[in-house]
Amino acid sequence: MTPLLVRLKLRLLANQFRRSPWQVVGLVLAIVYGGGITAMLVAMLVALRFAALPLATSVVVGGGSLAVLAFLIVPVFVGVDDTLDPRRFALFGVERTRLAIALAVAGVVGVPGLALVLVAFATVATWSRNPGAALVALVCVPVIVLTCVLLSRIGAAGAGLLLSTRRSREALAAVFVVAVSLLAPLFVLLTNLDLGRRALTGIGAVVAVLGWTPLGAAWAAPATIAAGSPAGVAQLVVALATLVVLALVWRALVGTALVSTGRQARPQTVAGIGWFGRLPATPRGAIAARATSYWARDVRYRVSAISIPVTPIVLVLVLGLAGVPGDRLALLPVPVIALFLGWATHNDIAYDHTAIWLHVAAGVRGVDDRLGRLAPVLVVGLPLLVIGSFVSAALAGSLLLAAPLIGVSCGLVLAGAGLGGVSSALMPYPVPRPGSSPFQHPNSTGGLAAVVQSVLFLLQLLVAAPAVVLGLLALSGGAGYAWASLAAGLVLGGLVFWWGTVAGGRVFERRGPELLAAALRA
Amino acid sequence: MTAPELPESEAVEAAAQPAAEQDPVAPAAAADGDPEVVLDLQGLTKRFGDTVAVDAIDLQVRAGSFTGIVGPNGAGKTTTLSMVTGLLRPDGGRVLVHGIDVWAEPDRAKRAIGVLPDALRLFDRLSGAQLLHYSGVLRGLDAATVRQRTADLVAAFGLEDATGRLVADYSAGMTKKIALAAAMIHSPRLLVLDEPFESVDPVSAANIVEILQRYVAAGGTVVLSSHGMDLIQRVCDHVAVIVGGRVLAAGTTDEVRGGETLEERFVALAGGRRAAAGMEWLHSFTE
Repeated sequence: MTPLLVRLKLRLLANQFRRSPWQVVGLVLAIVYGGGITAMLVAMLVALRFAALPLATSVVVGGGSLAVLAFLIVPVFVGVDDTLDPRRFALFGVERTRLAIALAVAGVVGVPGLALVLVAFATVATWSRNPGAALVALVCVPVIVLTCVLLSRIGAAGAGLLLSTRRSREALAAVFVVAVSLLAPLFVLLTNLDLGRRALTGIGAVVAVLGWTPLGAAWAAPATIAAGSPAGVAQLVVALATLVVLALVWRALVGTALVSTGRQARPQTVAGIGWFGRLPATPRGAIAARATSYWARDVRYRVSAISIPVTPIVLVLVLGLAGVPGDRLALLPVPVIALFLGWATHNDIAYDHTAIWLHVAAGVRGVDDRLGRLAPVLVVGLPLLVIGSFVSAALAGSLLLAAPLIGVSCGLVLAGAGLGGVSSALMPYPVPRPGSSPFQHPNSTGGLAAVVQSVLFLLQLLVAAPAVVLGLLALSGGAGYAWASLAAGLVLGGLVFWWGTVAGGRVFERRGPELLAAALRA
Repeated sequence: MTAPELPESEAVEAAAQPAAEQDPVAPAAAADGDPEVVLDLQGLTKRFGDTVAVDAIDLQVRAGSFTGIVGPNGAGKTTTLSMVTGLLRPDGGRVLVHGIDVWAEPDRAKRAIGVLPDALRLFDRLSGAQLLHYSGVLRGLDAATVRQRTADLVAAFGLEDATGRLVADYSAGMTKKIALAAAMIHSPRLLVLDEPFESVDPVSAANIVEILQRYVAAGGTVVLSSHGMDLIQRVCDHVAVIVGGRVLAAGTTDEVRGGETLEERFVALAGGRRAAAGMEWLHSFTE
């Protein structure tokens, strides 16, 4: 069973290279990136051989514990490849212990697993200063690798079992967004506090504790032995006990997964036809109503709707803690929201997945499609940004600053919507499918997504640049600059929006079948 | 509930349709009393890499006919129907719907076609009623018409209890029915249905057949693909057998089956039954 699954995993990895050129480019980039990071880590660990013992201990145990934690958390939120989901093997009637072992071993095969093996081996070099420590480090290599792989399998399978309903995934998405937004300021706070002389002792104390927890025990055991303390053996025992417990949990999870079908959600009902009744019964109005319903109902849009306003709040908190004065900070959130709001439209068609066939088969006019989709963003977003600009200007102590704020933020939203109107019809890239977790990115995303995202971001900033520059000049006084910034933002943004809607509409009409083909490949 | 055999009234229908007269390319078959050609495939070809999925198919479907397209898995049925409905760009050949080239004048041609694709998603975060409304309005209907037709379609397909539920929560058969209703809402002249009976229960299937037969009797044209040979033999007046991207037989159902059942004829055309030899291990069972 085990060799069979390892071969299956290898075959799946090899087949990744038999996809379209863009996806192969993305895969190669990912491998180069992963390989580079691994090489850096290995080099660092070898170099630590010659560093002072407390420093080496802090780096290895602290970094190692973080890595172990990542192996548990990342699969829960990102949903790593589920090719080895135990539920897929339910019908083969394999004895669960054998299956659990085979799945765990096959889980090592892959880029993260391989990187982990190399890094874990490099710690043997770190502790080669002391023969006893090197020996313990060698023993710890398989312990570390298996602990991490088991944690990731448990994370993925556990999430698969508990979060298989739509509601629970949506709840998780909200928790994740809030948690991430709270983590960032906390991190700044902690680094600020530790930045003094107390930093090293602080980290040292944390590492000392981590070394006795399941997260850090396997990394800490050789370090403790190298320091001449026999307590390292006890840490090794903690690490081994962790591994045994994880193995039992994994076996139990496989057993449960084999006989469960996932939870069922209660169906949701809608009275009447909702937004469709409130907006005009024209193609444009209907597409706007559909887009509005999706922003409210589809968790993938909802994550954007939550994170767009939350991101700038976090940014302001972080900068505020770092000591940027408040009256300047007040000017920041509105343009940042505008930047992300405009940018969020750039891959809209891909979110329909193959349902876009309806627009193609009905021969929807491109302009109707473009404007309809943008309606919720513009109709809700623009007035809120204008109100927000006045609030920000009042907080900054000068109502005149509302003019450049409105100019910059409207310029950003309109530019983003216009550019997105063209790019979403010209270069859609795969996104999470309807109904799947918003963090479950398709493994075929490849390099195209990164290229499109960054190019559009830069173009959007470029269009708004005149308004931004004039706005910055207005900060140091000068009503003329303020009004010029307003005009620059509205005119340039408006022109790009008009161009993007017309050109994007034409591209949409011309490329309808190709858009559907792209969705089928995604 | 009988298959409509109304050549004369159909001919009258066809004569009243101006589209064929405007386009000189459309084969004006009305001369010998046959109804107008509603769907005309001329050398339609599609390649995927080195594979020829659809190999220069010629096929004509006349107004008021109920045409079944049958073929083994991977024969090119869905590929062909996708090219007919403007969803997949052909590599060669033409598709004429009422004499309008689907790929030269897509906007005009698409108005006349109702589509039920196979294995494509719906906007399934909409409720059933919302999806019907969306489909109708995208096809250019006004609100009042959509409301009245939605009520009719919901009653006809037996979806009264499901209109408020999200399509994502529908069963496979219900999803098929709502998609079929959405394909009909703009009363197209031509309905192109890919696997309309897949996972639909027998009662609903009979119901759908009746709706389609009345539509055909009124002059509409249905082209559908299916694997249900009995159903096609019973319901369709014309059949085309597609194997390996080519039309191996086409004509009235009786012509194609030539005295045999359609299933026997189809299996013979599709390369015959594979001898079930060499499977003796299947008869000694694993403990």
